[in-house]
Amino acid sequence: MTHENDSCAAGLSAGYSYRPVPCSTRPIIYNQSLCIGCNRCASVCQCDILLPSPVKGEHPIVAYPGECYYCGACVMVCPRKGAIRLEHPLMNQAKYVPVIPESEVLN
Amino acid sequence: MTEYLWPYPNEAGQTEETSCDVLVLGGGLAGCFAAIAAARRGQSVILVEKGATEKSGSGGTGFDHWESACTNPCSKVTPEEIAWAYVREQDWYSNGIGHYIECREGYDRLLDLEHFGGKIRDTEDEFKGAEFRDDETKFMFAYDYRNRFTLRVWGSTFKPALTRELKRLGVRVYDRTEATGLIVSRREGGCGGKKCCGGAFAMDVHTGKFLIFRAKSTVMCMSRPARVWLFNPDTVGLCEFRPLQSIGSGHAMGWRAGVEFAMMEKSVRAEFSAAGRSFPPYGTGNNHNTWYAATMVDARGVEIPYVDRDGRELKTVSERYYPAPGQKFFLKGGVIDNPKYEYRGPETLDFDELIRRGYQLPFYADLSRMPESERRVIWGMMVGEEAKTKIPIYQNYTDRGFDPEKHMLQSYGTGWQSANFLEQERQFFGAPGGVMHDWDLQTNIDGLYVAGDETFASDCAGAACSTGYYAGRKAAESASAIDSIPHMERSDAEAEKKRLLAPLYVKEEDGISWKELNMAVSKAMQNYCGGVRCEALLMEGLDLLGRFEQEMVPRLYGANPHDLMRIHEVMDILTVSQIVLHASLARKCSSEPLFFRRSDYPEMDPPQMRHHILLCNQDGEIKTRELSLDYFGDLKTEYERRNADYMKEEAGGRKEWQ
Repeated sequence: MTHENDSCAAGLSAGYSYRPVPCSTRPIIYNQSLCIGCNRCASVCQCDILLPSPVKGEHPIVAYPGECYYCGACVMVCPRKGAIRLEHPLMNQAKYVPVIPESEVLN
Repeated sequence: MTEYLWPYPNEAGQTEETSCDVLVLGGGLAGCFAAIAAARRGQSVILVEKGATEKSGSGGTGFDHWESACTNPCSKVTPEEIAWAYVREQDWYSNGIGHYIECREGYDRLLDLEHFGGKIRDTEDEFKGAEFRDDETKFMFAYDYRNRFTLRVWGSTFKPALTRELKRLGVRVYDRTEATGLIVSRREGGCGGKKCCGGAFAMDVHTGKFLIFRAKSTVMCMSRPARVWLFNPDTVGLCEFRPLQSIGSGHAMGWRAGVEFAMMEKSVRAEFSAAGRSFPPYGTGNNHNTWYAATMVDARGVEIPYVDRDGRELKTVSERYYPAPGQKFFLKGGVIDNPKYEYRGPETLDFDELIRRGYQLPFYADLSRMPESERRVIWGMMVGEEAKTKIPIYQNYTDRGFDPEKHMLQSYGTGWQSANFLEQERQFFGAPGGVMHDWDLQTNIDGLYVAGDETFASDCAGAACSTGYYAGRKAAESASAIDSIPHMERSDAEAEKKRLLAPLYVKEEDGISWKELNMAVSKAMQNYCGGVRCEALLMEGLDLLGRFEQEMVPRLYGANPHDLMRIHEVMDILTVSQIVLHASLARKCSSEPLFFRRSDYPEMDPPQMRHHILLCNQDGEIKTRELSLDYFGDLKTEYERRNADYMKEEAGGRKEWQ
């Protein structure tokens, strides 16, 4: 059952709003030419950082980039390969180098 | 700055009230299994999840190994051997009940997962003939290849499979709904005068609608706390190991309702915070957990030796996966850090010894020197199936050109965590504190059950699934034995609704943001409840947090339900921090197993203090009591006394569920 506008919140007249939150990183980048705007990524994100675009068919807005937990669920469920890219910030890109063949190791 | 319209309807002020037999709070692994157990028993079930059940929780996008599956057909250990080993390894500050349930029923849950469509065997024969694989069952094992009680699993398939099963069973799943408070009845008579739980309050985090879920029994399967000492307002999602929104709201609402807690004084020096001092978990060269037992080399390419517990250097890769001569089995895994001699497995030489011998930093993981099947199972299966590795590690590194046959991956700092944290930067890790419970996983409040990370000294994914299912069936038994849903005071619902929506009415220019409060709480906790504590510091901490509660919480402002959710989380973080301060005050000694040091009580673990100090909040007054560390009794006897039906009808996957 639903009680419409009962006592305690009756004073709320203004609607909700959202303002972009500045963040030093861009965890998620969309490829607009591949994205079909299905919003699967937004529906699955457990941190709820993506908001469906106000324009139908366009990719979601990365509304709360700083709240990304970098789990990769958005990429895993995306039906169009390459439409969404998730990448850790620069500081978290671990370094790798060519292996040193055992024959060249000086003991 | 541009303002956008909120894309979801505004339902602030609306209330939806619904009821069920069993209510499950939290839709991670434990919550899904709790709901499934109750639904299988014919109960009407509601599951409430803050994110989206399909991929939410710590195991939302995967996990790579399942510990303590002692009853799998290849296992050479008994549930008793492993459960008691955990208890002893943890010096009895250990959840013997949880460990035993995992050891005894974990394999049954794996069979469930397979039945639901999850992958637990190498059905494609990708690793046929590998030393860690049993070619008959196609099970693959990690760590101890002789005793075979830890399975490598394809955990990324699990949450979608569980979600489908919930749907099939008719469980009503409320995604994007945060549970915020427990409904507790104080009525005399109804519950024999004792407090009992009649469901929970919640809020839709898209619309702001208030929800009242009334239930005969409730299972809390929410996360362990987080963001108490570690916070970064820019990359909040990277602050901690577990998901951003997993911050211990179950603990906080439990505390407000009078639930009893154990071991909340325990915390460890932080191990993971990729917002700063560490790297993405499993994304650097290391040889632990997912990466066990990777070959490590130093800067010159000289291989770092593995040794057994007696310091004997191991010559082959294979030997890293077997117990030492005279040792039956060894322990490794999520809550095993630096095990006692009895349970210690193969490990690379101690760091200080390596430096003495001239090994040079940085170190690297070099999988190219491992047998092909070991290389492929670490990079591609384990890294790939472990939470948060499939896309941000495995796929991205591969895209960048990383090839484990040709490249070695750098290790940072001086240990396998690739991090150097300060003593006051702490984390709830390695079996942290949580809700105290009995052998039914019931709390001190009737009808309120706990599972997974909600329990004290919890373990990893296998424990979450096993305790979830167990709590779900006990909650179902209790729900089916009572006729009516416990009483709810209307005024409690009104007060909760008002509390949840209050930040919408605070003007931004008069208010503070949730991030500012979280930063202040974590700084306060680093200052007053860090590596070394004492009475005066702890009292200062309580005073400051009390002032935050009085003066700052009423000034928190938000413009939409997403903001409200983050605000509620920080209010809960504040509550959890207060629990930690109270628990730290109550333990008047220092303790090794609890990683707990008090400068005013420096003596480590004096015999008269070797017990649990249980803590609860009774209408604003802090009550403590002592409980013996062996309160759970003999694990096998106590389990079997209470689970004859399960043993007869379900154990070993013998029941065909429709």
